[in-house]
Amino acid sequence: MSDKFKSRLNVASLFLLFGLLFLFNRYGSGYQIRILNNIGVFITLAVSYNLINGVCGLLHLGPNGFIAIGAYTSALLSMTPAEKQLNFILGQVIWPLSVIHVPFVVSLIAAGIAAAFFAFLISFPVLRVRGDYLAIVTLGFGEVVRVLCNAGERVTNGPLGLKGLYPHTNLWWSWGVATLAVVVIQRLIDSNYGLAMKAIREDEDAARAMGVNPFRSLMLAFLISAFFSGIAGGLLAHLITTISPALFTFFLTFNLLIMIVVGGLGSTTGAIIGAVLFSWGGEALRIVEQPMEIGSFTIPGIPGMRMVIFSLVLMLVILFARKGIMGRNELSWDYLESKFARFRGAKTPQ
Amino acid sequence: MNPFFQMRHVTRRFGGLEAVGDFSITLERGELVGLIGPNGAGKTTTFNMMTGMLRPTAGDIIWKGENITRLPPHLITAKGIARTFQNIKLFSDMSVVENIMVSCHYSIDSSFLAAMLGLPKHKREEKRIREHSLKCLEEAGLAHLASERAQNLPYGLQRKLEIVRAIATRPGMLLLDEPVAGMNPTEKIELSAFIRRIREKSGITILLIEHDMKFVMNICQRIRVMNYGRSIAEGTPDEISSNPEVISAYLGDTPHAQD
Repeated sequence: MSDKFKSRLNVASLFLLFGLLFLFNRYGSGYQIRILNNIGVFITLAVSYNLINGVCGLLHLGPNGFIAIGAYTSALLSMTPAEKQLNFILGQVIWPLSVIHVPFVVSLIAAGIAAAFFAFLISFPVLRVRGDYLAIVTLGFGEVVRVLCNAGERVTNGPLGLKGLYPHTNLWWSWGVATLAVVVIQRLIDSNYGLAMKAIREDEDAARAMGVNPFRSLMLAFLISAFFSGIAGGLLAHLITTISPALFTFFLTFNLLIMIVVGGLGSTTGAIIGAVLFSWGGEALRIVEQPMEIGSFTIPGIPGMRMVIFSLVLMLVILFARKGIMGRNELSWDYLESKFARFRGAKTPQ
Repeated sequence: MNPFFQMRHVTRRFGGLEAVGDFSITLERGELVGLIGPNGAGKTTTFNMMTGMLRPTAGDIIWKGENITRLPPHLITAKGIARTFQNIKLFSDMSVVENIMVSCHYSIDSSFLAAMLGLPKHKREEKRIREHSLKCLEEAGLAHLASERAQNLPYGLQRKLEIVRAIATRPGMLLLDEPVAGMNPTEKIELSAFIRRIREKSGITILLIEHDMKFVMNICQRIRVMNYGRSIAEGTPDEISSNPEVISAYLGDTPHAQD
């Protein structure tokens, strides 16, 4: 396949995607749009998380910290001074925040930059260690951010959180950012910078001996991942319109980890599939909690049943596809072509 | 005049153990030198210090007149010292050509932003790196395996690929840690021809650790022997093979056993 043909296919599929979104935006129910928004935000989160865990091979357990920083930054900047006054009942918000009010897009960029700045600061201690130790340090970071959000009442309004944000996040925002994140991060992975990151994952000593500076490569991955996590945090805040520290517990990280492991660690396509399955699957399984009638039997709805089934599905995926659904493969036009050729080859008799 | 490469009175201790003690060596441009010694003599530790993976406890390492003792490994590689490893350390889940392409990473000019935005400058750079890597593979006769995954190669070719990967950094000096360990006789002959060819073509200095005496005696111009972290002899292959100290280091200290 020629490059020109491939880029045409890319443009066509983007048109198809946004055409579908347009249809949903116009004719879909509020519930469907809500799920689609969720999917878009979680694709951004999973793809940027996969850059560190899958491509660089670091067990980073603190993305909830970056998401929280992004969500609070974006929310505090986009709220009007009057809204802030309504929210902060215990004590007024500190000075510069009390008067700042910027457009949504500026607040999103600021959210990304704030998260990346924190990533820069913590990368010095974090990247000195590897493996389990790195997991513990990043886990600690995530918890520290959450606790600080709880304690910093003059900035984050403490455990009360921020309420009544304007629901800026629509399908265009969530999927626009998701598309941008996927394209940009995948370009990085395919470039020589991504190659250096994979080399560090495979064998750090050998990578160093080949002239790769691990600290620089990993810091780069960390900053980019945090940047997009921060933006996604801002989108999340303006999607659910209420944020509080309880939203950004380790459970959020854990969900992201499940997404990228089920999809296939190290595969952007896998991260996308994981995000879609997780955000949509959990909702689609709600039917099993409703009372069902099979013939003359009536099965009463059992609350919590969908989580049981969901866990079973996850276990089956890991049992039968040990490296996740995609492994480390990417769904590209070349990949599809080779699969299709194989399929045809298998059908034609020799 | 400055020597090409020099280690001056280098010592490395691990706690109470002196792995390498007062070790000095000078290499000239284009030499092929062997470093031999019984197991645990400190040969690999010496390599690790030369490439910056370990810092010497004392002593200096000079490369083309510059003190590189405290530089990190990636900068030493960029300055022109490349190595292979005793136990193969390929990037096993990456393709053969990608393994080589990593070696060019330090020379990349365009920024990561250019990579993320897909700017033409970066695309040219990627193309240059890929072509250079394919050329390296072609010279080594591995071009037909370029898109194979490194872990799927047979053992002998994995060793060879590791050497090609080191050469792709365009080094002035190449350190080979047991290049023929575990190879069969045919592979050994082929590899020694390959090493000779590299040297003749690019004129790089090669220092190699090896336990296979036939291979070492055959290929090296000069041999250095270590035992218990110290240098015990140096000379041409003939001198070394008849040196009583070397024989006793290898066979045990029992020169009177035959009496």
